[in-house]
Amino acid sequence: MRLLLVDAFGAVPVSRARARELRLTIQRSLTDGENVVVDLEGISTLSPSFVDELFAKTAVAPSQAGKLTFENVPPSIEPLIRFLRSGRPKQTLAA
Amino acid sequence: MPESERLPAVLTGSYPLDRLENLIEDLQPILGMNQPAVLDVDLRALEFVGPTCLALLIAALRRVRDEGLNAQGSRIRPPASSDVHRYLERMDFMKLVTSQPPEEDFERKPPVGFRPCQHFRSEEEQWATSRTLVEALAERCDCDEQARGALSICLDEVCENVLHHAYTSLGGFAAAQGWPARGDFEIGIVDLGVGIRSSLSRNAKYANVSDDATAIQTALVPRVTSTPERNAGIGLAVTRLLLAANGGSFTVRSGFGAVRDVAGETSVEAMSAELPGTVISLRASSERSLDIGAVYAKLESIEAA
Repeated sequence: MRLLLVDAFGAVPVSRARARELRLTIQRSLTDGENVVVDLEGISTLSPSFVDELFAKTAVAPSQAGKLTFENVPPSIEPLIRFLRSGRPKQTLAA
Repeated sequence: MPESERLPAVLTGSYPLDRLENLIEDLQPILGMNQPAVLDVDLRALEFVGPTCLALLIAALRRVRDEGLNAQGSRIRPPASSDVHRYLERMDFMKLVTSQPPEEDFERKPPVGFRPCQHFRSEEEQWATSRTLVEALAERCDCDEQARGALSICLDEVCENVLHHAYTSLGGFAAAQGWPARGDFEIGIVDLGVGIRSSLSRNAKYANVSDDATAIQTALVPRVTSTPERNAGIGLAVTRLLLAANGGSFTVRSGFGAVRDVAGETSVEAMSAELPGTVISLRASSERSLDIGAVYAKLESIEAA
């Protein structure tokens, strides 16, 4: 499954509720054994809540390692991703 | 049946952001209502009300309506100034605070550069609120794409706090206004929920915060939240940093406490009047940048310091 974020959420995704739905969709696909690519092409920036749900809370089981990848992540949100991931319990993280 | 108490509330003059405290004092009879009374709200001498104060006024009157505290005979006397009266109507004041608003005596045009006060009680309404108000400010103040993105994020985060932490079925109220000639704008977000101190106390780590002003200061620290399993606790901190970098101002008022950042100075105060719930006000220059990426870049170093 390939998800082009800008198509569903526009150039500045906000809303924890919407991100939570996306996270659950991703996790269902991973559970079904699918590879998931989240493409951030066209995204200017994201809200902390959206990043928290998508990058920090998405749990990837050891057996699913490598099956979830993020592409075209804007460099400006990388510090936010690191910051939020460091505040969540250790888990296998997506690439 | 005993006659209901008569409760007058008179608003006189102007209520810009720097008179928020006066408004809270003037609204004490309404904010403190817990049994039906004949409410007599006199707005005849009202000359101006800014967006933060307007959102608070609407929230206070809407609570009375939703909780059925308006006894028969209650009334709102509209402003004598037709400009102020018209402004309130365009901001949906009467539609939001009365169940039977009077018929408007003017034709509404599609709003450009402003939107009515927003009332949100669900995640969908919260999302729509931030989108709607940012659209209005972009039209009015010619904000660039970077500023629109940053505002959209901060509004969404602050409004989300209402739904996650205020614990009130009344929801939140938000209003915005831009002043292109002055080159700035103001956004106010208000709830009449449990307030920051009570909300934070649901997390055992913050159960013993001694007063409201300290609770506000604590809530502004990154990663502080009453619900760490759900929230990250950085929405307010990011909003504050964004406004500081812009040279704007940031106000949080809750309970008996207030924290204000104005012109690079922070004041932390214990107030004499109680505000049930929380008021957040953002004021920024539309002529200086609002760069959320620069704020994200600072988070790790701020925490390390």
